[in-house]
Amino acid sequence: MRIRAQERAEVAAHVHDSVLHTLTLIQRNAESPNEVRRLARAQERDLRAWLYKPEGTGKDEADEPDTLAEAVRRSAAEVEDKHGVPIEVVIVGDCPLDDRIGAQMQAAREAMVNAAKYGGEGGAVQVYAEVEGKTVFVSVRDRGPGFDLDSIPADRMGVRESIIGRMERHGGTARLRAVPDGGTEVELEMERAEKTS
Amino acid sequence: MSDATETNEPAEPTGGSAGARHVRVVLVDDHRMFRTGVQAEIGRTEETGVEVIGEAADVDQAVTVITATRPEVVLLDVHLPGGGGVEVLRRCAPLMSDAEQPVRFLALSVSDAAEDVIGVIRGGARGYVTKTITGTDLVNSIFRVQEGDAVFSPRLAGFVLDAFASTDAPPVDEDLDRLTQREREVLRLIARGYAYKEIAKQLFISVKTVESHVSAVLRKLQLSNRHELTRWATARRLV
Repeated sequence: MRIRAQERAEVAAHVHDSVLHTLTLIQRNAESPNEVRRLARAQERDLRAWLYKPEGTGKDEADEPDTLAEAVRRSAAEVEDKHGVPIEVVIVGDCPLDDRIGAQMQAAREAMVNAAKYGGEGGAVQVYAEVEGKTVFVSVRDRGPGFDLDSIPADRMGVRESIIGRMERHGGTARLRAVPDGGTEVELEMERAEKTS
Repeated sequence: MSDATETNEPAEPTGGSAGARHVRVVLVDDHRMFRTGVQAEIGRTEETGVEVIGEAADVDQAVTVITATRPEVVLLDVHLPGGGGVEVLRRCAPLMSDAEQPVRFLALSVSDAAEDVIGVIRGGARGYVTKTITGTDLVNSIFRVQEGDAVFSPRLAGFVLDAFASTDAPPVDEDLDRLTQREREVLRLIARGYAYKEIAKQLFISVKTVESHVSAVLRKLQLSNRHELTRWATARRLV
């Protein structure tokens, strides 16, 4: 009975702190659809994390991620918040972060930022990460207008340096391509460092 | 090759102008607001071809309405008072397997919890989509299910890859407990956000072939006794 009451109190506190707070903010920002969307999405994510979090892994926002899955989710959440574009994340498998995978995560984040900024008009950005043996594969796909790598405008040099360059310096590969029916897809592939298997 | 397959593809009607296609649908969801929203988005029969012939808000109502109206497709909420979507599936099992006039189920949910997803699929649903799906995609998914094909959301595809990947134990039934290389490729592209048509182009196969791979995976998902499938789904409450 004591536990019931405690649970109830915890739920009430959470709903009060987060959901009610967000609803208030949404009413205040009713004139700004982008802000409303961003607030709703952030609250949805927060609530999902709280409802479905695996037991014993209640991580604080401040903690640095130590696995691939945590890092991908974290980046997606931050980019989503900053750019107001929904990012759907699907992850298959997981592994601890090492230097190479860390670099891949930074490249992935950059790809998400690009997708949200230049392809977000076309709808949600889809992020897929998969660990298969020693290989970590990440794809970031948007449904925007797409672009040609050879004619990247100056302000998108970030693609070359922070995505392709970063991957290659760490021994991985990055591939950018136009998706058949519109949009751009970035594919990042990296081998995990030797010691972990 | 890709041009030819594209124009000869009868299985990919493009949204909007419905023409001949028509489907009778029952909506099962305990949130009236959601039912109203879906009805408004997909229920304009002359435009979408979807005719909503009944609604229900709990398990008992759902079974009554579905039995009385015999829809072709039921949009089924996973979380429902009275035992959830799984209970509706259990009680409607005879209707699902009716040879003449089968009732087919498409699960629709806000939940991303693995056990919910795997639960309704193993209960007999022909597909699973999340409530964030666009109206056009939902209409296309409904028609796909009507035709007996399967519909996987990216997340469901991810679950399946995960569940079939952890292969420490040898398979009990080789046919049911493993995915073929091709099935894996198709699922991977679904998980990456590709539509069936895009997958077909990417793999140089027809949309029909993509559909048959997905249906084969659905069958494995429903029938496989891989203990990973059940154990995995309950052990991991992943977002």
